[in-house]
Amino acid sequence: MTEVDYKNVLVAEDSSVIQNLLKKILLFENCKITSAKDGQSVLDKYEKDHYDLIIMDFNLPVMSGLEATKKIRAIKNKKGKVPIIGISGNAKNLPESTFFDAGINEYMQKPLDYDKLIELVKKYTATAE
Amino acid sequence: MNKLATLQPRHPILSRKILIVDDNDINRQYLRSVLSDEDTELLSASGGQMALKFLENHIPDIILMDIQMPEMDGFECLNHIKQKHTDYPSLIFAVTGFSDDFGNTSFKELGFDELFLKPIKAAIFKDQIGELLKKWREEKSSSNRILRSSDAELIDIRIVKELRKYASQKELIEIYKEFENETSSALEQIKSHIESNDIDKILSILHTIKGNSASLGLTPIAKFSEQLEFKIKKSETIDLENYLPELLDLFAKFVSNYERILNLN
Repeated sequence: MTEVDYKNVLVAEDSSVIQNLLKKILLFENCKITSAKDGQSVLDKYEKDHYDLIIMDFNLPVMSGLEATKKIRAIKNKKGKVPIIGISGNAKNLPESTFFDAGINEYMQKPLDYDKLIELVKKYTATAE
Repeated sequence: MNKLATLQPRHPILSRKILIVDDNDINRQYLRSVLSDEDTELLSASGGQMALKFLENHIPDIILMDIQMPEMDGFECLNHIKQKHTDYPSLIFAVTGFSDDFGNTSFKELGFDELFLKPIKAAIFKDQIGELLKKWREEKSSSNRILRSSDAELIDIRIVKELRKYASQKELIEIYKEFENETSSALEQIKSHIESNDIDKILSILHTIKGNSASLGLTPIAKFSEQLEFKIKKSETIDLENYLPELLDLFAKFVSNYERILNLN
């Protein structure tokens, strides 16, 4: 492999602390990170470009991450099938099944276990060679 | 299953910094190998002077002090520490091969918190000091004495170690700096939301502070914002003016210490 093959990851998280933290951590996994700070801009960005993975916090302003996940899953083509890793401190005390019912592939509770997150990112961005 | 989301500590072992003081290389290495794990940061000093030098910058949780050392022995070193820092938060354990080092005086009278006789039993030593540290932290938090927080209490050792895998020293500081900036404006917002009694906005901010501080291993801030979030949710109306100063205080403690702690290694 001569060229570095970047994966496009959309990180939906309203806190710049976590945004930048994830940027630094995922850089090692050859990920190109795009940030979205609210649920609506997740959808806008997702419509415009191709993403290999979305990391979605649920506690987002304007439109919640849960809502945004449902809207993406409602897209009836390949684009609607993007892997989504949900992350949350679960402010509203919802049962985990709510997140999976909305269509996420994996769920991670905050505080994030960074090693686990990287494992999941690897799993969902792995390409057959 | 719809219980309140609580901040599960990712690991049950206490984050701790331990200073080993022993003039014998092999003893120091032995203790290092016994105590080394992801939750522990170990410092070793080959003598009393060096230990005192370390303590100018570090606030460890435990000091393991050999007694018989050339130049400055364990007793003298202990006295220097106690004289210099009346609010010293560390447990200081004597570690010696000679039980008669203490003559008829008990180690407690001399100012040590515990005495361990060599040879140190590898299988139980870590648990023993873990138990003592746990008790000490509980005592500390319930007593009226104002003691400083140790470095490892303020920032979780394991999380810093994890972050170091991915971030350079400069980047690491930037991450915490970012938290400082974001949280200081968040706390300002809380103040104005308290005036307008906007509970939902306050909860949302507390929730973000909780998640961010926990992700960076800032346990005191994370725990306090979690408790506060919990209390507000339970009773809806709560006298926030009484709680906010404590949160501000914990935040100020973080601000004045994090660069020192992160720049130490």
